[in-house]
Amino acid sequence: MKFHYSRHRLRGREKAIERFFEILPGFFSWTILIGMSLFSFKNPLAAAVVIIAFDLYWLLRLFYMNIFLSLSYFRLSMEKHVDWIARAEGIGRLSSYYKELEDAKPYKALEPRLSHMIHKTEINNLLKGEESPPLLKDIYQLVIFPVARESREIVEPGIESLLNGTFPANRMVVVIALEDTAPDDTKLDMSQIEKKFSKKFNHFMIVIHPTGITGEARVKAANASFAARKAEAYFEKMKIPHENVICSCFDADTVVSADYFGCLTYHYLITPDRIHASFQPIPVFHNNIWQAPGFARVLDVGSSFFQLIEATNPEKLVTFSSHSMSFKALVDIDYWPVDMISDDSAIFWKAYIHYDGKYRVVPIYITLSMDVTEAETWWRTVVNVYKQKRRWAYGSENIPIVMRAFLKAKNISIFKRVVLAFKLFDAHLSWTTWPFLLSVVSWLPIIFATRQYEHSMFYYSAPRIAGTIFTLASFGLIVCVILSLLLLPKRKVKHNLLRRIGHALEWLLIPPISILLSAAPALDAQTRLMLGKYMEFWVTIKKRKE
Amino acid sequence: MLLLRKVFFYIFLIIYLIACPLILLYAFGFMLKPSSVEPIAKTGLIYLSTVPPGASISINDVPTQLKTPTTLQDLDPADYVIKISMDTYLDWSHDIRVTPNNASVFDKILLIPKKRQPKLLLDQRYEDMIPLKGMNFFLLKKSPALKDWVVYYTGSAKLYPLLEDASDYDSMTVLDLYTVDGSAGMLFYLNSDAGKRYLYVEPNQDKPFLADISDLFTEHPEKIDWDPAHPRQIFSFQKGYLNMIDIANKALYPRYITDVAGFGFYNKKIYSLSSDYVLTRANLDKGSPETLLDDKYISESLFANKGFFAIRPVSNDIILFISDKGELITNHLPYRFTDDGVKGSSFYQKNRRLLLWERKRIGIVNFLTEIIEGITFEKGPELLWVDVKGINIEQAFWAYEDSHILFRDKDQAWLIEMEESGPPHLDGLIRVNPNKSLFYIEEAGTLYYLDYISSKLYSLDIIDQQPLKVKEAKDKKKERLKDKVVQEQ
Repeated sequence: MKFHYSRHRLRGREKAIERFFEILPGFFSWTILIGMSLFSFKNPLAAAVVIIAFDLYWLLRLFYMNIFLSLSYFRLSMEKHVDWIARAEGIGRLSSYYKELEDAKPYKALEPRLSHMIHKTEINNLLKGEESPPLLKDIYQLVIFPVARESREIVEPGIESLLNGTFPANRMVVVIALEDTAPDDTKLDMSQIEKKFSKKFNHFMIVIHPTGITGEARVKAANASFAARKAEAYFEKMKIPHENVICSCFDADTVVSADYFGCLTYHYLITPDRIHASFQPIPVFHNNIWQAPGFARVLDVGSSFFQLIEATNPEKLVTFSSHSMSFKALVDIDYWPVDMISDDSAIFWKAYIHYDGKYRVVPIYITLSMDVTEAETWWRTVVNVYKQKRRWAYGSENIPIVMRAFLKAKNISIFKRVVLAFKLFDAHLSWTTWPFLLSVVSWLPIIFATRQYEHSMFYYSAPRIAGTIFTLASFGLIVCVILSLLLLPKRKVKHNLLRRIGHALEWLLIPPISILLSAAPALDAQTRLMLGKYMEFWVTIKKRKE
Repeated sequence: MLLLRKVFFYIFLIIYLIACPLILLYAFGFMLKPSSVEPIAKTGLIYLSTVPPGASISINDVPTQLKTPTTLQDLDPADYVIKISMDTYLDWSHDIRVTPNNASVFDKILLIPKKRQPKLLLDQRYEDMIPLKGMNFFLLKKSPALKDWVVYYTGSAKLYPLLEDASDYDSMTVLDLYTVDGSAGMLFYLNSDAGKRYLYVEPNQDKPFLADISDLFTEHPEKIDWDPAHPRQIFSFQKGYLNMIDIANKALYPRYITDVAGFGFYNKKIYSLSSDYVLTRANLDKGSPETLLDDKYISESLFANKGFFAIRPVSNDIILFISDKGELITNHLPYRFTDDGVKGSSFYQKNRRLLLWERKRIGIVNFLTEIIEGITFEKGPELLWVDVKGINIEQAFWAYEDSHILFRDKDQAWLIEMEESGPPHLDGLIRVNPNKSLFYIEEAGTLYYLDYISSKLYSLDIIDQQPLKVKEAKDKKKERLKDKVVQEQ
């Protein structure tokens, strides 16, 4: 569907619909929070009933998520030692390769056995299909690093990691998308990186993104889109088909594992209709995890967990943070929206609408590491984390655009539109309201208890039931603590037992953190959107300590 | 994985749809009893908390492992005999009726020690003690002669002379004494060879403040009152008008307010009822006057031909009017609570409860009324009488917040535990000298009295101070939490 994926240059009814849906998320969030508070004051008994029903819903949803977090983690660890390049090469000779797989000596351990089984099924499915996938040797990787003012020590490890991978560097095109407004030091740093790496890849270029291009906002996506257009010219020149190029737009601090591009290429080749798919790895924030303050660590591990859970639901999966997609699709949909902050999720919705719902996200069970937000001082870190989460939550800017598109996307089934719209709303509403409801509002019926309520059975039963629910919820927390300890990278310096216990106990910070550094910035973002005080991109300050 | 997700989704959905109503019904007191005649039974609960905590509980003479504070859940509707026991304390027993879906609340049951240990404080005989509500001291007198009056400070447990180096007044006898709740000041009406004198005193452990203001009285007043926040500006009432006496400047403002049928003070304001029953409120300097009641029909039906009314505002929105014959009127429906006989009152701010007493009974008015849906006409607070079979009740105090009432009836001090359901627990505390006052300090939980036989000053700890302090700390924490919640909102 031809659709103008932007809130700008709208007129009449379109503009009114856009504005209506901009107001809706913030309006609902505030209505729920204020409404429940007033309800607790006006009728504490009825409010307590609603809160108990909500607490139970939250508990079951927590358990449900815990199950899939554990399964997803299992899948991640299962695929840890796979030789992705060998698998990708095998796709080039499907029939014989499938026979090899069938004849292969069975693995004794459960994890490789399951991985082998899944792989065999995927090859078999491809064999049955009519499509013949491209060959590994024809696949190129385009990697874009948008840089606004990041220093060399932030960007360089990411580029180094490309060289250390199993995917041949001679089929990699690396682009540093540098803002013209970047400080001179940053520009100097990038030119030094260029000098160091230019000969080591198929092509390496620094693309300076000029300011003031009509229709662009000061956002990362504008910079990335400008760089991608330059890359397109390069591929045209080299006569490399766009279908054979996988584009990855990474945050400047992204460090990939050695297997990342091998794994990505395998999934690209094995996925039917690969052009119409984005490939979502599991973002982890491990680059500086042991230097970051506890609250920032817990918050970002939580984000990784969320993505692990989401990975188990590809039907509703939306791209997040650093991810990859076919360059053909990127060109088809005219690159990232150049006036939106939340480019990571917006690109999915833009493609989904462009291809009339025939676009999806394929989860790939491999991690991709970034930096935990950190600053010079503890307080600055708090402020930066708040701003970063607000920017993430500003993904609610997609709601009005998606809703506007869904209202006229007749080629997408109503069921699909309703389900996805509900999920989009639900995700943003629960982000802003749940922590407040669980930690603050749930106490209000007791505080505002009337004498009539104080003499009801419910007044005495409700705290006991809520207490049991929270005790059961703490089992979910234990699962999180165990998985976080398993997922975290090994420390360079071994910590003593006490310190490790301290790290585990950091999870107890969840209630205040989830309010102050998750729900509050999300509410802030939705309120800005509701009031029409639109945000522009704020570069998260990332700093690595020696 | 997708299929697994769907399977789990439906499993969890079914669990929620079944568990949620069941849990809510359980919370409301409904129990599933498949084997009984009624498969869904309605239950109730009893909440018990004691001071001190940790007491054992038995239900219908069957001991349980439970300790207070606790909630006895899932009880079938019936009458239960609950007994609470603890070493060194008297057993507490009560017949409690459990009704379906309701909680019978017995909060802050004050356990009474088996052996009370009255403490002798002063080894001298006293004729009477004069309590000053809200102060940390009281007066003791050996005889009507002013030189025999002393001040006893409860904090330091020390005795000080009321007058120091004031030999001029030694020979004078006290004819009358005027005090105001919450004020350290007191006005003595004295008899001397030279005539009647008015002496204003503010006791002090270092040096008391004395002011002979006899010259400022042109005639003996019928009433005297002042604002506790401005104790050196006193108001005398005589023949329907008020004089204002400024003690600091030794100035008299005659006929400061005329045409007065009642007056009182609250929060630096003077309230006055005119002879045509218009109620006004103004600053002490008569600035910013406001008319609070100017409805002839209401005011005449309430105040006409009743004589003088002492006006006692107890909060920003509750005003009590007590006539000389003990009629109690408030500004809340149904306005008139008693026609006569009220001897005194005490208001508990936090829960907005008024304690009042007549010669033979004690009453409670709860101003913390809630709007109950379904009632078309507002009922207003009700006066509930507590049957204490009194003979001659002279004093009453709220104790342990408003969960207990301590009162003096003839020669006996009693403690009543106010129960939410059932008759109150009445406990005889100690025999006291009849017609002599008691002094109770809530903060310390201590009662001061003159012994029945010896007339010496004794004290008796009514409440263990430790749980009180713990409770106070908890209350403060709760308040802070409340403030925090409000701020976060």
